[in-house]
Amino acid sequence: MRKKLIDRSKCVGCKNCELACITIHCDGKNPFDPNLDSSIARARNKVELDNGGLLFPEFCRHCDEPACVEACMSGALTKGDDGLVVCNHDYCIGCFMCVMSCPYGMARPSVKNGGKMIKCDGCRGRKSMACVDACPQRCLTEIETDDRTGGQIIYK
Amino acid sequence: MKYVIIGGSAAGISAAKTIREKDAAGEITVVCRDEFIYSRCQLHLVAAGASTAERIRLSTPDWAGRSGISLLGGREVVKLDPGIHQISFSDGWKAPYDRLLIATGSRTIFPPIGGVRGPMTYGLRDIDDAVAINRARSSVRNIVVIGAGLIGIELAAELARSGLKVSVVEIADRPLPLQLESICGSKCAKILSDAGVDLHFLDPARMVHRSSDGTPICVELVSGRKVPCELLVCAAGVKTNSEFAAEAGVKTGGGICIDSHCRTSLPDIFAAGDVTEFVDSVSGVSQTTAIWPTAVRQGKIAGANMVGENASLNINTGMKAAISLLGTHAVSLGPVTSPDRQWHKHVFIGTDSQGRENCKILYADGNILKAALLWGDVTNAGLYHEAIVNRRDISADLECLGSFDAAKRGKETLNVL
Repeated sequence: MRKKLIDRSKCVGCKNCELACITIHCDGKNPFDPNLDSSIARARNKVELDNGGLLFPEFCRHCDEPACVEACMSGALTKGDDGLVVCNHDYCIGCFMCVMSCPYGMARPSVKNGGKMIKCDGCRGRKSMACVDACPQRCLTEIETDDRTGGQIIYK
Repeated sequence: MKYVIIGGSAAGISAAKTIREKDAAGEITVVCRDEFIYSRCQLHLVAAGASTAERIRLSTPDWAGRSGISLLGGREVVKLDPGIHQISFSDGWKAPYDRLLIATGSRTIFPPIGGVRGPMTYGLRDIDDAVAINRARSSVRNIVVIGAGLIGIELAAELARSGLKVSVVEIADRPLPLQLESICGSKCAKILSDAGVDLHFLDPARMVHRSSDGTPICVELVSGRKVPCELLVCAAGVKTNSEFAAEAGVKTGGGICIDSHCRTSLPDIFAAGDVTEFVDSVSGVSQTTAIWPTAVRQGKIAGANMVGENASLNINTGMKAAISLLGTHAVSLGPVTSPDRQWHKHVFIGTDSQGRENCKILYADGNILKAALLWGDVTNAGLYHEAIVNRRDISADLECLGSFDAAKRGKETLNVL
């Protein structure tokens, strides 16, 4: 399983990871021209300041026991054999019980009306992760490991 | 090992899956009244014709077979005999068990008023109710829903959207009296009335008038007002399906009493989901609940313990709800409607970049978050949930929220915590 290694001390808050995430999930052309009209145009990650005023890049963990999947009453959210927790938008009805349950705030409501939950899909099916590719600081890097437990994220 | 699970919804199925993961050889039987497994939280959509029974199905027809689970639908429990570890069903079948899980959920209470029972009158607890309401819907113009709780208002909103004249009758002064305080209660009432729903608050139903063939004509309220209807839906409370367990000597209150391991008072009998009563880790009070994620969690813990593990619910709360009403969302966490007098109520109101009005109402005991109500933008609701259940100090976050001067800046997204 490929995992994301995060060295938050290198983050400068450029938010390129957020832009790249919106672009790739909403058929945007490039990070300078993301398709913001898409009903699911919202980054599946975020960089925010923690209470100490330090930058904190936040990503979905793809938890071993995902609270979002536990909360999902439509069957849209599942944890696959590849360890990734993904949402099938054909089934999501936007009840947002996952949003209420994710302790990391990474099950997100779509901004536009139409109501779907939005979350990281680990760039399943893509040769590399869009956020990692877009990070100019090498704050985010990809590693390959046999360990499918402990989620997809490793904070250094 | 013979595992018998009674109930095939959130708690029962999550227990069955957990047991199968941990005990590949165990004999698992799930017995339920329903013929298939479906999403109970979407019944209002089926009732209003916005979805179908097939669409809210939660498992493929061959799921049970592939998982080596016997799923027996169309049966109800008639008797539990804990002495000989046996349970009897409505079709005469008697099943021996080594471990039993009771996940029988709850059923509609019809309010104790004259004429409440009769044709064209339903609750909304299972798929039969939803299908029946959807069928009845096509031949009526006026519908009364008694009860403005979660089920009542979601159903009322969907039915109104389908073009029917819907009236909601509620004993309290606002919709969702267990989830919303006065500010958001008014917002919710406005959404419903804008959608064409007639709202009658502080005016409970006194009796139902029916025609000679038994169909409803109108619901008479305590004020004397008569609200016409040809179809009546009661969504004013539920009762746990726990009588058979109580008769067998299992300790019950409003529901089957469970500890943090989902054990009942009798050995080898576990319970999970809406049928249970437990000490809520947020309120400290013993209560029943009807929250899907809570039921799934309890089913998992019960399943693990039925296999012989020692799993425990470190957090067990039903004091949370996610509300979705005609495109507006809200999340209610903790005792929003019964706050302690000592707590401070922080209100933040602003407009986000999409022009939506957002409202955050936080109740804090000093710097400890006790309850929260998010209206509009519910982003990060899970962080508030986490802060409440873990009694986290939120002084820095309150300062951050308070520093937004929404009036001066015009637009602000209040989603920082």
